Amino acid sequence: MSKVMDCRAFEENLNDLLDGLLEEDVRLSMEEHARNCADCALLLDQTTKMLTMCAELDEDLEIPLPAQAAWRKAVRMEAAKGKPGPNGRNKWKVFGSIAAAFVLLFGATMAYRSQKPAASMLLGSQYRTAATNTASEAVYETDGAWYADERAPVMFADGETEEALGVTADVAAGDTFDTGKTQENRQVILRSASRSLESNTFDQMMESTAGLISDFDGRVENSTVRGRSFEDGGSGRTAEITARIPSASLDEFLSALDALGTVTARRETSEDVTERYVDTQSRLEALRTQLTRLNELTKTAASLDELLLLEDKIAQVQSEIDSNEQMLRYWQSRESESVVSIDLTEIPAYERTQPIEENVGERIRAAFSQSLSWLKEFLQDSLVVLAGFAPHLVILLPAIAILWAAVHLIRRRKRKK
Amino acid sequence: MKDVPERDEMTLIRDAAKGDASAFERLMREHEGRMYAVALRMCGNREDAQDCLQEAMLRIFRALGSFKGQSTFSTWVYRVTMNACLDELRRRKVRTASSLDVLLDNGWAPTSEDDTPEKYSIAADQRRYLQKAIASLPEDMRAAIVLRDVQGFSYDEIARVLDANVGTIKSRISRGREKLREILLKQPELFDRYPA
Ligand SMILES: [Zn+2]
Repeated sequence: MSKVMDCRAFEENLNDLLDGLLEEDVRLSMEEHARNCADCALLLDQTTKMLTMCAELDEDLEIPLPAQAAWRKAVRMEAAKGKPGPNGRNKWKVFGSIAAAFVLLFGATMAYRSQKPAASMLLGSQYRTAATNTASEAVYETDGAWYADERAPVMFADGETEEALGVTADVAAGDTFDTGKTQENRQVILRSASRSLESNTFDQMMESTAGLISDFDGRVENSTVRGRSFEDGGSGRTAEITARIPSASLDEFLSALDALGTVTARRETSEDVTERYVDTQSRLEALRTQLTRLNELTKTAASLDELLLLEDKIAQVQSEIDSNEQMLRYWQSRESESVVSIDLTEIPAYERTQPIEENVGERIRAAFSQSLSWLKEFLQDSLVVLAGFAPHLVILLPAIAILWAAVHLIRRRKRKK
Repeated sequence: MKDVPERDEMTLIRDAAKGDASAFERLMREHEGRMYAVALRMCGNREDAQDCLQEAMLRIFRALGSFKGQSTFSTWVYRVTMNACLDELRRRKVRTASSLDVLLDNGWAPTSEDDTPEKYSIAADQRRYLQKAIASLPEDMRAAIVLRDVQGFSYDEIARVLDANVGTIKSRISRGREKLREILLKQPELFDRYPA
């Protein structure tokens, strides 16, 4: 390259200079020329400025939400019409989840069986009494709900009507409750009781118990009888009954019940949930206000994406409202009806005869039917465990929903960058 | 260009090719901003840019199965984007809202029509004039200038995206810059006001 550069050569090399593609000596001679030639200096200056402007033009450009939403929607529609369902990886995911759920259920059922008081029926009434008495920190109820005293996860009563929902709404709106008491001085006490009774006239005791429950306008929620009577060569029967008794007549009911047999265990608890009840009410009120505001916002949503975001949020708030309402409904129902768990045990009236010698066939049959009844019981227990776990979902599902929404938001934010 | 680790990209491409829309969305997340920017500069307005982006995305989604890695994925993505824009421009040739004549008639005084509301590093009126100047370049020059000077692609990449040889690209960029400077010089104060 010649040391002396003319204007023509300068123009020809200008782009390479700006793109940083020139060798050192050419670059230097161009700079040298620009120092001595005003025209070329201006050209270089203007072009440099122009390129800086261009480079900065879209530096901070953010893709608008509607544009983001539009292509995603189009692609999803395209995907929905064209391609087949879950691919192989998803199938494995589904299979894995189901397997994991089964393992969990099996484990939970075994754990439950290992600690349920009914197991003591094999060991006679002495032990049984002791077991029932020490079972005070975790009381098991046959409707499938556990109450680990204070902050137990709870199961919601089925069959609640629209009325109950209406009542709850009134309460949240600050109106008086259906009992006429005001929100402030209203005490919400949940009572439960358990009794263990034994008698040598088991059938009679069963019948009287059932009669008593209906006399007191209560209802049997669950009733299980196990074992074989002494007359049939068994080791006696046991019954577990869970009843709901109107709280107003609970004490009367219990004293009538105690007269039906020999009482071996007695327990009564009352849980004051007033504070939680009031908290839930105000939380519900706040959620309803939030829902109204969100619904108003959807009317002025500026973009599809914003609308989708609002709808997500609304669904989330709605599900929180639902679970809070369910909580209140449960407390209301539990307040008016107390839970009574009754264990009845058959005791022998006379000396038992020795079982007759069994032959091999009988032993096989016995073993088989034993396994069969074990399986049946296991399945029943699984159901109980499942039902018992259902209330946890009320807490878990919103938590998962919130977590999901958060992850979604973070991703969306990242995508913008 | 930023790159996702190759394996992730290949996995996403495979899943998306099977019709997995969410894999596709993840795959395209890092490209959509730049695709939109390219479309915006090619089309000159947000509505058309959004349409072009959507069209490009659909084309890519449909054609993923036949993408065999002849070029890098991102090169292919911008080629499809650019072609979607050029098709769109051809289809809407009648609507020449951003012709040079209109631009010069109106001068570069700020107009009420505003497609860039957010904060920027250069003044809004300067931006607007530059946008219109770019939009008024002939398509082939505009494509090269947008990729090179606005988006900072290398000459090699541009050659692959525009399916031309590097020499052709160089001359388009050279002519494009000259033309752009001429347009901008109609408002010389643009350069005065801009710090060196
Ligand atoms: Zn010169």
